[in-house]
Amino acid sequence: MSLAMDQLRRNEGRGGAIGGRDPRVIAVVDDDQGFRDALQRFLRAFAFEVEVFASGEDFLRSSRLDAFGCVILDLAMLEMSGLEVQQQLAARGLRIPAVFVTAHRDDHLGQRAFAAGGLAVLGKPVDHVELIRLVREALRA
Amino acid sequence: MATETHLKTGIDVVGDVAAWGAHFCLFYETKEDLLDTLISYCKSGLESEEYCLWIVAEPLTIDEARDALKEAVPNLDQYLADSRIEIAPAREWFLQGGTFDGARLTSAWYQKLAEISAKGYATIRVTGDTTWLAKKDWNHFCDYEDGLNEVIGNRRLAVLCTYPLAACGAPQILDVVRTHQFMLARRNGNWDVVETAALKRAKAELNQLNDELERRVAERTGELVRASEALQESQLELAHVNRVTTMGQLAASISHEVMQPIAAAITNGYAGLRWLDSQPPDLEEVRQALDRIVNEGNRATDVIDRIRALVKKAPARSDQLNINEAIGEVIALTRGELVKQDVSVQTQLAQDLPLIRGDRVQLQQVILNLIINAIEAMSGVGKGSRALLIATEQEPSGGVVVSVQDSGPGLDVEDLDRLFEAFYTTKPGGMGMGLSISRSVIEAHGGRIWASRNVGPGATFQFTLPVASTPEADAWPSQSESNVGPVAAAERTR
Repeated sequence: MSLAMDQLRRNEGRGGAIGGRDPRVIAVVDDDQGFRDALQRFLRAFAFEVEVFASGEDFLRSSRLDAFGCVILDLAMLEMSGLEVQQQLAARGLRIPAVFVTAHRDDHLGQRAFAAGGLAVLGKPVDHVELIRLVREALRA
Repeated sequence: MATETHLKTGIDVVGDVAAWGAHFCLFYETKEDLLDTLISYCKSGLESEEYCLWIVAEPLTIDEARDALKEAVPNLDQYLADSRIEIAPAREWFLQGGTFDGARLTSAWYQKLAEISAKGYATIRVTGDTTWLAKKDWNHFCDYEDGLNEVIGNRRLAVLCTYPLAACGAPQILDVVRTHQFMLARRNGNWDVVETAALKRAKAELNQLNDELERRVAERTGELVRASEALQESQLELAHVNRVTTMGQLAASISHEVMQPIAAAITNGYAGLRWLDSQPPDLEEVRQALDRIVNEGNRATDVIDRIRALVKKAPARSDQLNINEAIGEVIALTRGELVKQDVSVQTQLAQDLPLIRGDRVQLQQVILNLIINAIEAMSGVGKGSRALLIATEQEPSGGVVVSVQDSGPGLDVEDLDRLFEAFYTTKPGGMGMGLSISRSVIEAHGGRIWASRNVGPGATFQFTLPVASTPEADAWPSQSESNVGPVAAAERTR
C-alpha cells in the first residue's frame, strides 16, 4: 500500500490536475454504497470533483450528463449493468470515457467491456495508481 | 379394577386371573362355602362391567342365591332388570330335555356367548354347579368339560365350576382337576388354590416368555431409538452436505460479496493516506476514512460469518427470526450469481410480518435451494427475460408464506409433489436432494412446501411457516418494502 502511495506521490510531478480543480466532473456509478463513497473520498483527495450514483438508471437520469469528463462504472450491478449504461450513453450519442470496475474474478465481463469501448477494466480492490492515471487520461481527452 | 390383561375374580385367595379363557373349579362342602366365594365372584364381575351368569343348583335355590347376592350388591334388582346378570337353574341349563347332552350344551354355550357379545359385553363371567350330575353321565360330562376349554379358548371369559366334595370320589376329583386350570378347596378351614404341575409349568414358561418379551421389546426399542437418532444425524449430515455443495457452486460469486467491503476498505485507506499527505493534512477527512475502514472491515466479517454459518455443521436451533431479514441475507449471498447469470431480482416483502420460530440456517438453506433452482431453471431462456420474484406475505391463518417465482420454462412434471421426492431430479447434473431436504426442513418447522405453474412462463415454489407463539413474536418492524432490489434489502440488514 505504501509502495502504491509512493508511486502516486511520484506521479504528482508528471502533470495532471495538480492542486487546481479539473473543470470536468467524474461520475462514480456503483450500487455498493461502501465502495462508491470510498472512491469519492479517494478521488476528492486528488482534488477531483466527484458525483456518485447508486444505479445506472440514476446516472442516466442526471441532468448534467454532458458535464462528466469520465465515468467509473461498476460492471456487475443488479438492476442495470455497467455495460448497459455504456450502451445507453452510446445510444444517446454521449461519449463519456468509461473505466469499469468489478469485484468479479471473471474475465468474460471484462472482455465485453473492452469490446464496448471502455478505457479499462479494473478488478476490485482497484489498482489506485492505474485508476488515477486512467482518470487523468480521460479528463485530458 | 379389571385391566386389559387380567380379571379380578373377587376371590381373595385367587386374586387376578388372565383375562382370556380362565376355567377353574371349586370343591365345596356346605352352602356357606358356595356363598362365601360365589357372591364376591359375581359382585366383582358386576363391578367390572362384565356380564354375569350364575347357574344355580341344590343345595342353593335361585331365591337364596339372589337374596344372598342382593345383600352384597344392593342394586341387584336393577342389574337383573337390565339383564346384566342372569341367575339360572342348573337343571334347565344343563339338562334340557331331561338328559345331559354335551354336544348340545357346547353349541348352546357358543350361542349364549355370541348373544352376550352381541349386546356389547367385552367380558363374560360364568359360574355353574354340578350337583345335578348323575353318575352315569360322569364320563360324558368330563369330555364336555374338556371340550369346554376349547369354547372358552381365547375369549374374555371366566368360568368357575363348583363341585360338591362329598359327591366326588377320588377318581372324580382327579378328573375334575385334569380338566380345569386350577382348583379351589378348603384346607384346614381356609380356601386354598391347588394348581396342577402343568399349570405351574405353563405359568413359569409364561413368566419366562414375558421376561423374554420385555427384554426383546426393550432391545428393539433401543434399536429403534438408535436408528432414529442415526437417521436424524444422517439428515443433518445430508442437509449439511447440500449446503456446502451449494455454497461451493456459489464460491466464485460469494467471493464477490466478500471482496466488496475489502475493496471499499482499501480505497478508503488510500484516500486517508492521501488526505494525510496534503498540506496541511486534513485530519477530519482522515478520521472519516478510518471510520469507514472499520465499518467495511465489520461488513466483511458479517459476510464471512454468514457464509460460515451456512457451511458449518451445527445441531438444529430454535430461534425467533424475521423471515424478511433471513431472505435478505440469502439474496445478498447470491447477488453475485444473479448478476453473473443476468437474472433480475424483485422482492415484495410484506411489512410487519410476525416473527417465526425455527433454525435460521436451515430456513436460509431452503431459500438458497429455491433461488439456485430458479437460476438454473432460467439458464435456458433469453438473458433479457430471466426474472426472479421473491415475496413474503401473511396468511389469513396468521402464518407466513414465502414464494420464489421464476420465469424459466416451467415444470414439465405431471405430479408436482414428485419434485420433492428424494433423488427425483429434472436437471442433468442434479442429485435430486435439494427439494427433498427443503421439504423435510419445512415440515420439521410445522410448515408446508409446494410447487405450482405460473399463469405466465415459469414456476413458483412456496412454503409456509407457522408463527412463533410467544409474546415477543408480535409484529416486528419490517425492514423491506415493495419492489426494492436485493441490494437495498441486503444493505438494510447490515
